[in-house]
Amino acid sequence: MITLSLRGEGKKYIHYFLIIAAIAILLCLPKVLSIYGVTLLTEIFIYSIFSMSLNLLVGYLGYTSLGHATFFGVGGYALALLALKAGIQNFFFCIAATLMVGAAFGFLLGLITMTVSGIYFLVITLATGQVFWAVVWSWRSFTGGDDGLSGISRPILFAFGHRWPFSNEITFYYLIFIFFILCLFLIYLIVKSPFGCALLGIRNNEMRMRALGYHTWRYKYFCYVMAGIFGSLAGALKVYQDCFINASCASITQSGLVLLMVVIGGSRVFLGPVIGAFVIQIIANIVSSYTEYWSTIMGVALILSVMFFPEGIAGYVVRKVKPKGNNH
Amino acid sequence: MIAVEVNNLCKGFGGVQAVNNVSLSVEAGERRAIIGPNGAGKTTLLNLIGGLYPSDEGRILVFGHEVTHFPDYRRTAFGVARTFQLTSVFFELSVLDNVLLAIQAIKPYRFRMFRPQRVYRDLFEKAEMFLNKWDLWEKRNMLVRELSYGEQRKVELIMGLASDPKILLLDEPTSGLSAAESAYLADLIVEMGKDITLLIVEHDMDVVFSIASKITVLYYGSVLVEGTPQEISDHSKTKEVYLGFKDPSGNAKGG
Repeated sequence: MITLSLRGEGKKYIHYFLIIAAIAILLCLPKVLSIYGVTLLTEIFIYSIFSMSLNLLVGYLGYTSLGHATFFGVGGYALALLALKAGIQNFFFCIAATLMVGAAFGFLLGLITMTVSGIYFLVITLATGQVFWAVVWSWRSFTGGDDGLSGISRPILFAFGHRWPFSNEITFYYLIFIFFILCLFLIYLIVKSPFGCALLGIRNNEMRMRALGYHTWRYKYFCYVMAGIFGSLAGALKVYQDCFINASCASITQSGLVLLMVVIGGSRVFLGPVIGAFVIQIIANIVSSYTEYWSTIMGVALILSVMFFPEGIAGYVVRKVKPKGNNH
Repeated sequence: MIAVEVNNLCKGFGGVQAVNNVSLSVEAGERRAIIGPNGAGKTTLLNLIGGLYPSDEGRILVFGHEVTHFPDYRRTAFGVARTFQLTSVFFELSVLDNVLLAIQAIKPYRFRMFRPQRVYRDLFEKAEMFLNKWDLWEKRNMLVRELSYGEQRKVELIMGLASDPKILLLDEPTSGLSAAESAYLADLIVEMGKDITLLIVEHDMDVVFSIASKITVLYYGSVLVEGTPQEISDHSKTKEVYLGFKDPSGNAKGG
């Protein structure tokens, strides 16, 4: 009825076709790629989840965080400690527990970080992130500090009366792919929900949102918590991939890297952070095999992209394809 | 029934006493205009009733409920809505998204996280009704910043009306508009249902006299006089401080 014609959604079938085609290609890729390529792609999926989680804050709420690696570290350490110190191997339990720890940290940290906005939010997330990193780095007996914790094994699932090990790179790829699609779907639901629409309103004009009757702090707080939950999931998956974790996963470099993914990919487009994660990981992995100055090249790429594509790669593409520029 | 009651309200900014011991009560369904020279505290009074900032002293009651210490977003639950003098909408969102956000604000599902907004048909039906009525339906997919100034003012008014308020605070709805646009907007305001109590701050005397059923004149933060439009235009002190001339009809434009 009216709602169907409201936003001109007649082209939906093309979207469905593109989505199915993309999923089919990604399912087939392990057959053609080398093991190195599969590992790289798995890493890109994990970082995509991480950057999409940050984009809830950066793109939708308009709050730029420089401490998002905290959640990556929280998730990673929660999983590693559960596996090594508590000896729990049950995959579902470990993931659920990780998410809960991530949420708990989100609820706690949000009370501090969500009291300010703008540049102060950037600084306070940087500060809390550094505090977390310092604790992890110096508490060697618990976290292993710089040496880290190793010996975490790839997950083994017991479901439908079968044992499903995800020990080799190909099976692990499919496991992470499922998580990637799931997170993509859930985050898409969030940003299209009444809650997500309200986040856009807050980014645009918080005073008006309050005057309309929105308890805006609650929205910002829960947005932060959701970003934290998805961020810690990404951290946990990364630990499964590396079978190792150390303090650098919660470092400022990591926070900067994920923010870079969001900015280069395009924060105002839903798939922007995924594209950013792809580009950055490709640069980091492929360029670094040719030259040790790869981070210099990354820096130059960042400067060029901010100069010429301030709205990110995805933002640029969308603007060229759809001159209206209404992406959300 | 009294919709808005304000008792001995005070608000100062630094050394300036913007609102000084103001008391007024507005009947439900009334169209109350608040006028006065620049700096008389009109907008401050409206902001205090809307809850944009807390008052220093005094009480504010809405339909008999004390809301003095409630933040702005909680006053919406009592039926208070407002518009701003400087257009305050979501310029980077489409016209439709603006209206949807305004309607959604009082819905029980406004905090729903894992269901798309588009499944809530009632939102869209109501948005369509508003946009048709206000002649913006064809432009629903345009960003608000792409609209003309007059159209942006209309969006501002729709945002105030969208939550079905019982009390609507209008802060200079026609500010910056041409005379013809002002008259058009004034007609739309006059047509609003009598179930809405209007508190309107306005400089344009044509608009004030075409809308208001009662007028309060503020002067240096205090109530100077209160009465029907006829009484106000006849009142000699008002002419002196505000209308600024001795025009027996009182219908000409003031400062």
